[in-house]
Amino acid sequence: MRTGPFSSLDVIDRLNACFVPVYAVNEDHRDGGRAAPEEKAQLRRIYRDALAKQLSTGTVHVYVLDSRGEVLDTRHVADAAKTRDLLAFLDGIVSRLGTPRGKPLVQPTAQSRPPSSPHGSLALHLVARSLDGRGSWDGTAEDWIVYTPQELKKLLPPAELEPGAACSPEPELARRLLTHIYPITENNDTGKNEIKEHELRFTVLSRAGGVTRARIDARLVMRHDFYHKPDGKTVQARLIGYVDWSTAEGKVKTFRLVTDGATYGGGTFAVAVRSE
Amino acid sequence: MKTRCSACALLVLAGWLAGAEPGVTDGNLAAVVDDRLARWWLTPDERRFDQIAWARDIREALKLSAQSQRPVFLFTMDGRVNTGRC
Repeated sequence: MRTGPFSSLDVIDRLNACFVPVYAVNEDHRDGGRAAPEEKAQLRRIYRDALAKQLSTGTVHVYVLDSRGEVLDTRHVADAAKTRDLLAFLDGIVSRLGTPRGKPLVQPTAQSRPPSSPHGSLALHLVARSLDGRGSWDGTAEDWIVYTPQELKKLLPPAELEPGAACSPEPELARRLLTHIYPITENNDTGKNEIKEHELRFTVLSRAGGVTRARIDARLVMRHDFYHKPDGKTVQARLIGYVDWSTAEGKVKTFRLVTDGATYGGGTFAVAVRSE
Repeated sequence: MKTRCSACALLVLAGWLAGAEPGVTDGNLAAVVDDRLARWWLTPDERRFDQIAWARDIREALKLSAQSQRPVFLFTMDGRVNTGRC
């Protein structure tokens, strides 16, 4: 949906001018999920309201509510994912209600944001995409990986390491990043990934003007199921990059990492990571 | 010898097809990495999702709907549509 109808300028126009758009993540609204109890209650109410009105329901679904919060109509994602069908659906609602066009009610803002973290943390922003349209879905996916200041000290090479020398961080710190190296799939539970082989190595290249630069070399072999059931599919990837940090403070100025050959499910994919 | 050269050529070709490029040295590392990052990063068209005026949550959407008389468009999903991991 993100790179489909939600990237259509016509859909964006309709949603911003005539609707109050909102999305809800099912995982957050289940027992133990991070959504507020009132949010969970609202989603359950909407679902039951749609059921009672004998409208289509589902976990991946569109629900349209009137200004009293009652369900007006619904659409299965298989229909909503077709831009033309979604536009017809939205226009039908607007026509039915006689909703006038207006300005967006909320200031649009970036929806993929780094998680809150202690001051001085390193937030890495990751983008994944297919290179050949095989073995994974099209489009792009993002992840955020955060290292606290204490973890950063263990991630980067120690200050006494001379240019030419190399070291590897604790495996847990390496795996936290590498488990996100996979293309666009239905399964996004990194807890299900099985890292079979991995290496993350920093080689100090230079130390000048109070800044240390290290080369990054990484390698990964990881079982990652496309769907949520075992299929034996494996990510094989090599990555290269560099990191610049202030030698005295250990504060990262630039962290950049890209795949240097990555395959999955018979296709090739790319991952790029940068500090934000 | 010929067999070994052919095998090397195949390995280079396989690496190139998988997105790897030969000859990444310490000297050109930053240039190669920066170039790939620029090519593979999100384009403005791929960030159009951010142009939608999403309400923070269902309660805020209901409140805005009551005030404006506009209908709420609610999309529910497994995974996170805002990052494309869904």
